[in-house]
Amino acid sequence: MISKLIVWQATTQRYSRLLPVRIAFLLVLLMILVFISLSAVSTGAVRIQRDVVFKVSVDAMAEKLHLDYDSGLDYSARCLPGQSCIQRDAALVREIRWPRVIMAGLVGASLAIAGTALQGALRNPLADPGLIGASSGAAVGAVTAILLGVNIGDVLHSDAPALARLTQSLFAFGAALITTFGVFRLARWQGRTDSTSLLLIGLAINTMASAYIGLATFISDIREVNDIVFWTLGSFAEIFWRDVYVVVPFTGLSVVVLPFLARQLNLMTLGEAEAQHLGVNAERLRMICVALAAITVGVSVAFAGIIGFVGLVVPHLIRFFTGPDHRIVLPASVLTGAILMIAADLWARTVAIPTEVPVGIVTALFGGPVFLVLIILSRRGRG
Amino acid sequence: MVNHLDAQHLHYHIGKATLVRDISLQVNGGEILAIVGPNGAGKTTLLKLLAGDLHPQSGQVLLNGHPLHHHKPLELARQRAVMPQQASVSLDFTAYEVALMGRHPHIRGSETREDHRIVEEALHRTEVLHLREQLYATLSGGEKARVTLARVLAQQTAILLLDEPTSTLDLRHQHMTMQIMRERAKTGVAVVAVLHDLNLAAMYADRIGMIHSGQLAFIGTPDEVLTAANIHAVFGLAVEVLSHPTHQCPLIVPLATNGHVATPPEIGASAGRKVLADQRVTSAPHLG
Repeated sequence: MISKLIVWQATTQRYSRLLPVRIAFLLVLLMILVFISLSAVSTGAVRIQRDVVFKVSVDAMAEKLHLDYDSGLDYSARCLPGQSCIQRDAALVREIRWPRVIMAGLVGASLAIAGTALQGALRNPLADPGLIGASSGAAVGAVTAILLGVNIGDVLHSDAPALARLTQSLFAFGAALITTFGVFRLARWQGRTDSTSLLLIGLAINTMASAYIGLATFISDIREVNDIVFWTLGSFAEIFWRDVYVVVPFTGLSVVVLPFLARQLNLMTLGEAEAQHLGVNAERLRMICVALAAITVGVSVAFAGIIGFVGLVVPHLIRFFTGPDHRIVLPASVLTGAILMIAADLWARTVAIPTEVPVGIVTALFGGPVFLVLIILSRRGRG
Repeated sequence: MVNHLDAQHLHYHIGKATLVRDISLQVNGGEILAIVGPNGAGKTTLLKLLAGDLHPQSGQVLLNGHPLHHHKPLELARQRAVMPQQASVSLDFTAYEVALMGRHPHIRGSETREDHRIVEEALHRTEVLHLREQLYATLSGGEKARVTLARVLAQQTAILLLDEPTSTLDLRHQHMTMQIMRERAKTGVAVVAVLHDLNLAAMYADRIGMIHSGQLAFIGTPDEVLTAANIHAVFGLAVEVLSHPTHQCPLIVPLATNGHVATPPEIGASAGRKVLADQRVTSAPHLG
């Protein structure tokens, strides 16, 4: 069975070098993404028919874009207690489900593209946004905000709970950038950055961060512990449009810029000196990739907490099918990261209704075994 | 196009260890300069200085009259290619994809039919075209070296810097590699190759630079540099220099005495350097 799979894999990798095959592959992923998004929006504690979801979404888009279109849904139907009705379903779809699903997609895409870029730029298949300190740094920032009890609301004389959360997000984002910059700075020696020491320093920083978070959990009261668990295990609960609007430009930056560096990332696999000989400014490339990864992952963690494994596994998963060319791996990992995260969040919020499982647990639960299988298969494939 | 690499008084040290000491040399288009010397003499460091990987603490390298660091990486990559000693690829690219990477400095947007033609020609010339679909990581050492050579040739540069291009190759492919270098030199390319095999250097190089503990001990034509006295002074090996039966070049044959091929050089670095200094005057008229 395994040998058959490997022959099959060799075939897919050969064909995936053809441009039409690549485009078709991306289109298929895009279709899966649309399908799973619609499914995720229709599924939940309240089940909403998929055609209703579709019509409500189209109506909402038409309204935003000032298009003269009407799906014919009757929004004025009276809501009876205990029954589903268009009006309530529409509100649920528009204000709760879509922002959550889109945020999950954005965060999944961010983590996956950051992981791909880091693995390429650092020439290390173990590189992961978590390993360079972005995730744990963000968690340390958020936990610090929780422990100190800081809240922008106090300054603004408002006690909206969203402001407490926003404060934690800002702390998380700031700390993610500071930590990544610190790791990068420590790894820099005589104007050069050594990938191995970068990862080892990241590991050391991560250890310190988890000690800090552990200690914080130990000395906190129950309510604070709940908040801390949210940050360390990740969740897409309580995500609204305003959060999505903040994340879009950051994710968009990586998604737009990184594919332009795809060929240079390919050259990096030859080695840093060899890439330089072929005209790549390796140091600059690495700085751009690390900076983009830190910003994108930092903002993702600031809203969704630490979600492990996606950044590590998705690039491996894509390469397993398409081969290592970053020109296909980068866009494919954006779509696959989004698909997997939406699926993971769907599972996390529906498996134990009415409670939710932290999504970070789901990604680790599935990501771990998948990673193991990939490693074993690719080892056999090499003979 | 003038292809001219000019190293002026290069000096490079790490901590207290001096790896390259005041080396000056020029390479012109159309010639092959072989760099020879014992292990740890500083050959690779010298090549890295010429390539711009390392920056000398003093001295400079001029490419067509301009210091290396004035050239942008991409601009530099269109003028000189470097073949590393060992080339590993961290992801599963095929041999063809690796060779195609050599076209990077010339590709704007995406690769053209012409790029593919050049790569195929290079793979054909280094006799690895049949391995094109194989994963680079699964190739043997010699096959990897030939794919890497194809990558370097596909870069189509006026200057070639090669670090032991023949060390993993069988006899036939060693000569194939050097013949390719001769062909390229004939079209005006300047070639600098670090070589271990003195006979290979003798057969193909126009000039040979012999490095000893970071210094350029001798430089000149194969006949001038590859003398028994020079080789004994630098390598600590007794040899007899014959003349090649068919080529106009020296042929170096190690001498075995009492079952030992090598006689250790004089004990103590200072003694060795003194011998060297004496011979520098007598047998290296080009120097200085």
